[in-house]
Amino acid sequence: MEDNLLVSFWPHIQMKDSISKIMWTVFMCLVPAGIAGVYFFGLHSLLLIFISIITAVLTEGSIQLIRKNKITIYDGTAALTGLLLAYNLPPTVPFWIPIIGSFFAIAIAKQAFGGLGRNIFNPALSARVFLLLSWPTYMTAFVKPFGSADTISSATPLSILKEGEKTLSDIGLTYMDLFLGRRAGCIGEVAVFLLLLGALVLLFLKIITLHIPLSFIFVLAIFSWIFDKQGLFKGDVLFSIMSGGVILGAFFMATDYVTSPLTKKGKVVFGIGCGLLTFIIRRFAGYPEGVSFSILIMNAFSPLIDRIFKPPVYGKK
Amino acid sequence: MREDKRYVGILFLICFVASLLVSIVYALTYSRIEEREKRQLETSLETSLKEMFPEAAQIEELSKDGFIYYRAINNNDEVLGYILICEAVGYSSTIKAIVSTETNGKIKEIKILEQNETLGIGSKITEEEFLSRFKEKSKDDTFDTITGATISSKAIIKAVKESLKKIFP
Amino acid sequence: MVKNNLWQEFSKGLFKENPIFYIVLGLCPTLAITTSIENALGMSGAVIFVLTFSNVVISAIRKFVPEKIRIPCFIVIIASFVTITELLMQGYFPILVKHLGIFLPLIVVNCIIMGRAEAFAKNNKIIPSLLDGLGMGMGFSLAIILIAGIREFLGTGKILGRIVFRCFSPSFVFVLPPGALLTLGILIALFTRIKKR
Repeated sequence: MEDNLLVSFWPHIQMKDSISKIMWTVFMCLVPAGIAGVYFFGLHSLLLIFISIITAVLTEGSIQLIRKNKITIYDGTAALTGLLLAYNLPPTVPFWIPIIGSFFAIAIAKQAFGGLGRNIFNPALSARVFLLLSWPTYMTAFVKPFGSADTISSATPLSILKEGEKTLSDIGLTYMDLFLGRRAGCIGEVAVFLLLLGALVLLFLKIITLHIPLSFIFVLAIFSWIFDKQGLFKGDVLFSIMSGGVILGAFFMATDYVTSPLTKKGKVVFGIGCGLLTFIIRRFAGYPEGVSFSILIMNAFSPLIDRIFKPPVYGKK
Repeated sequence: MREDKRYVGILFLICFVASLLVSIVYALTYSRIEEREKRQLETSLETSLKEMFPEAAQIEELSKDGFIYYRAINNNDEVLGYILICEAVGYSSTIKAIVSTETNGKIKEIKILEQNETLGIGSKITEEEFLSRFKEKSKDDTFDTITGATISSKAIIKAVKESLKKIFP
Repeated sequence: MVKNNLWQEFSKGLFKENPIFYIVLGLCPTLAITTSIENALGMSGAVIFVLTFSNVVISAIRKFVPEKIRIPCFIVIIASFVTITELLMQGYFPILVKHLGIFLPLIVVNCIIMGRAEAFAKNNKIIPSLLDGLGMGMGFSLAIILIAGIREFLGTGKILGRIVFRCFSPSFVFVLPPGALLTLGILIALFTRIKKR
């Protein structure tokens, strides 16, 4: 009975309203990190979050209206997509960015594939990558926390370390800063402490399991430690985990039911793939951060992973 | 067996006619293509060399360890500077750039001669905004890449640095 | 009556059996070179030329070529026309050759051309084959010019290299490969919808 809240292979027990309950719980667990983001980066980011959520819900509703489907905007999936997309935006982007992003997430990445449960890729991440490729200047313009209205742009710790060979202390940051979120980054990814708190609640409620996040973070940490720029076994493990979007990605986005494998073994493989790809992108590719790309790439592999680890049908060998 | 021979014959005939046709068109266009390519190469190189140092009386070709570069000299036989041609493998094409330097190795001007990078992204390397970042810099300075066009801009920066190192070690 | 039929052979490629939106053939060049209208125009010219002539020639020798060796024969004919096109373009439009790059010689393996040879030219008379080739070529051209127009406009804010609007910032993704797939996918969906009505 340990896994009774998880979507798994057959046989199923049907439960009413479980989707809606789960989605709103995840939503609430994410809220503290967002409040921290607004506290660090100002009211503009709060507006971005609201615009993103509203656009997502409206898009979902109108598409379901046009296609004459059942309208399911209250179950929280669209709102959660909007929230996650906003969390993945830099705090200074113009207001039309979340509008286009949320529309893309719902209309193209979700509804075009057939709606809830049928999308191959995580909608929020697809939209983020779409925005990143479309408007790289806006999507990579970060600011330091507690800046004034026309804030001075600052690179994220990850991109600073990618360009030069400085260590964390050279940028003037401590592990505590990273843990509490006092660094430049996306709205919802900086507050590592609050994200972990939210994740703990989800783990406690058995909405998510540790398989994906743990294997993701573990593999990323090991590889970052061993194959560092400055030599073997010289990597900064804590930095590699707490910078960028690892915590947000590993606990809240890689664990998305629809786009990740169903079995435990499959989840571990999924997490390992995410960790490895994130490391490769961070270390060798043009972008400083690779969490979004790696989760999306592994999303594409989910059906294959599921096929490999499919449990035997009862009674058959 | 007889069938097979017939097939060979038909195929041969078709190939023969086709290659005849292609050869005729080739013969008709060959000289034109050749001439155009040659002229293009000459004029583009010559004019770009001159544009780099309009005050130069003479531009001579030099080579160092197989690397060909050019030296601009004025009427009093003073060296004005050097011109190098750099090639870099970018995102979707080979980027060819021409760089002029002062005698001390500082970059005077850079121009992109050839590129076929992604329109609107990699093609930004041809814009003045990016090319002006090279001015007054030498081989040991750091250059800023273009956001979103990291591969193209990094490639050209690396190629320029490497060419500079060959002449100003 | 006959005239009507001939017109049909020509016009079916434009919309009803558009090679890209309905038959969904020849997608490699469609995805690769539609970053600007200029490239699309160059590609269109080349494809119309090759498709029409290869259709005519294949139709002319259809009774002479045995069924068993038809594929190598068709390929030789198509390849010759592609080579001729390439030589002519190198002589007269060298800039276009540079932009189209490898996709110019790759017209040889463009599915539309082989597809029309197999599906139409080898079973029909010369005049219908000519019109079929022209129509299919034009249909291909219209489709890639439409895709290229959308991609160039959204991706760079320009049409034919000229800035049209300055008030929005172009979405780079549309001149990148994912933009090609997105545009094509949405257009195919749209055209399928229109046809169903």
